[in-house]
Amino acid sequence: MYPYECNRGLIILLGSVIVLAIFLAFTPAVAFAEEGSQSQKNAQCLQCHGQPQLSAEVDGQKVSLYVDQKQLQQTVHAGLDCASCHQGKDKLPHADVKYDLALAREVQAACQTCHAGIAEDYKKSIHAQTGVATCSSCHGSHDILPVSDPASKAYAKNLPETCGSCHEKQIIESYEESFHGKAISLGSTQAASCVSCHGSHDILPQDDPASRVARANIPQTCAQCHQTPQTNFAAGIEHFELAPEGPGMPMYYTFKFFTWLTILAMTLLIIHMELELYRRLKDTGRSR
Amino acid sequence: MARETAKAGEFQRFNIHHRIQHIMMFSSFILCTITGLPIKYNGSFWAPAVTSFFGGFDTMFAIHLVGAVVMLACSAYHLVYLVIYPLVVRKPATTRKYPPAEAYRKISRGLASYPGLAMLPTPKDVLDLLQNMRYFLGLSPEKAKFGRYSYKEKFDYWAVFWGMAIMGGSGLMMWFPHLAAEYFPRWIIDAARYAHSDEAMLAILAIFVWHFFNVHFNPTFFPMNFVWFHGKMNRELMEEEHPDELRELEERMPVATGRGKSQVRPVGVKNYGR
Repeated sequence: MYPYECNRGLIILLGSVIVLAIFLAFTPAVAFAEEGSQSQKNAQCLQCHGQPQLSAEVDGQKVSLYVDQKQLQQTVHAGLDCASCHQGKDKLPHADVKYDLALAREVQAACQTCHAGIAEDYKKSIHAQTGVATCSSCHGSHDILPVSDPASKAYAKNLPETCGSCHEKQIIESYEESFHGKAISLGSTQAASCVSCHGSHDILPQDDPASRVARANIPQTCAQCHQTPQTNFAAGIEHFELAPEGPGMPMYYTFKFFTWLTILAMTLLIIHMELELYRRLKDTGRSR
Repeated sequence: MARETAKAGEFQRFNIHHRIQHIMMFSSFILCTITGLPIKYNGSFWAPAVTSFFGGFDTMFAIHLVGAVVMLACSAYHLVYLVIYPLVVRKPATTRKYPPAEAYRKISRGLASYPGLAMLPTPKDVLDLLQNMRYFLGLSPEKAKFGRYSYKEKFDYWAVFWGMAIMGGSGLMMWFPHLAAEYFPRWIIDAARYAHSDEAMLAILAIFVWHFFNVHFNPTFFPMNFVWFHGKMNRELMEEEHPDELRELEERMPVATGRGKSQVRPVGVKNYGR
């Protein structure tokens, strides 16, 4: 059966070498080069920050310093060192510790090392100029995910909530009631989200002439999706409030008119039905 | 019941055009209801389920527009039918043989019996409603005697007529906002969206409560009045539902079937009976 039986050992050896070579060829180099060092460095940080009860007291408020390692591993930044974003914190106790907005601004400087182009756009925005909305305000921090991920803070469907954490509730509610808002909430990939009209990293306020939503630019902005720039179409208040006064008035009274028409019509129709059934019931009783 | 009276004769209540229009209307209505309600109640627990059943919002919305096109086609069909059908059926040539006064009399008599005009509200409808109320409450032993269309049917017809104007108009405004904006200010288009969504709710309630009661759940017809399908109504049911029309038809029958007088056959009988 096996004329080369004497060579079996050699065949096994050769086979093993080939299998190993294939395995190595498909193994990412990072696994060897960095695995040790990255997880080692992060493990050092997580010795303290991996403890759920780790906290500090800032201005009388208890601030959690806990980092959920599992959550971190699921983010788009899972392969990064803690120090990639939190620079200069390698000594203990940490020098120059910041919290909240100051911390976000500090970390933001580190974002630029990889996301340089976006940082350029962002610097022009009202968010950067006022300094109150940082990268993490919209993208999250230890839970950061790609924009295409439905769980991302910057995913179209989640934008009303994300933007609404700072911006006026009425604007957000009005958007959510609009057709755009409803379509997005049900997962449309075509309807407009907040950023479709307002822009994202280079966002500017309406009174800035360069803004996408400056009066003069609105027709062009609508025309990104709708046919040809339309002055009339763009004129009017987009985020109106459904109220008896103000720009939402016609919509308010339309809504009220149809609501009462429905209540009135259905009440009369149901009375008619009930009366007919009453008579039929009486007749049924009589015929028995 | 149906078998016994089948011998006594059936009446062609709805012709093929009526029936096709009704089928187009209810199929598109149901389609638009299923694909439209999740948009109105997008925050409900069932809205995402219905949306994913259709394969996502964009597909569901495309199907809503398909329903809209069928419904608009149906109403266009009906409007054209209203104009063309009497012209075809009346055969105006037959009146040319008569002196003008006589011809006018015949035309107006013909118009009066033209089914389309029978849908116009008359004072009798109000009296019928009051009579029915008295009957329902046990104040009168007799219910209202209806002609070709009862006040209930007229209400349904005009509700759909009004509904089509509101739904079709506002729907087209939202479908082609850039076109609508050439003729209307923005707030009209925004208000049209509220009209669309709220009039839809009225229509849905009216159809699935009132209309379904009258043609499905009503003990006379349960599980269904099949007149929408074959267009026929037997004599017993005619006596029950449309006694005035039945009397009128039977008065005319000999004229309609009499060979020598076929030219003065009243308009509409061809449509009615056989």
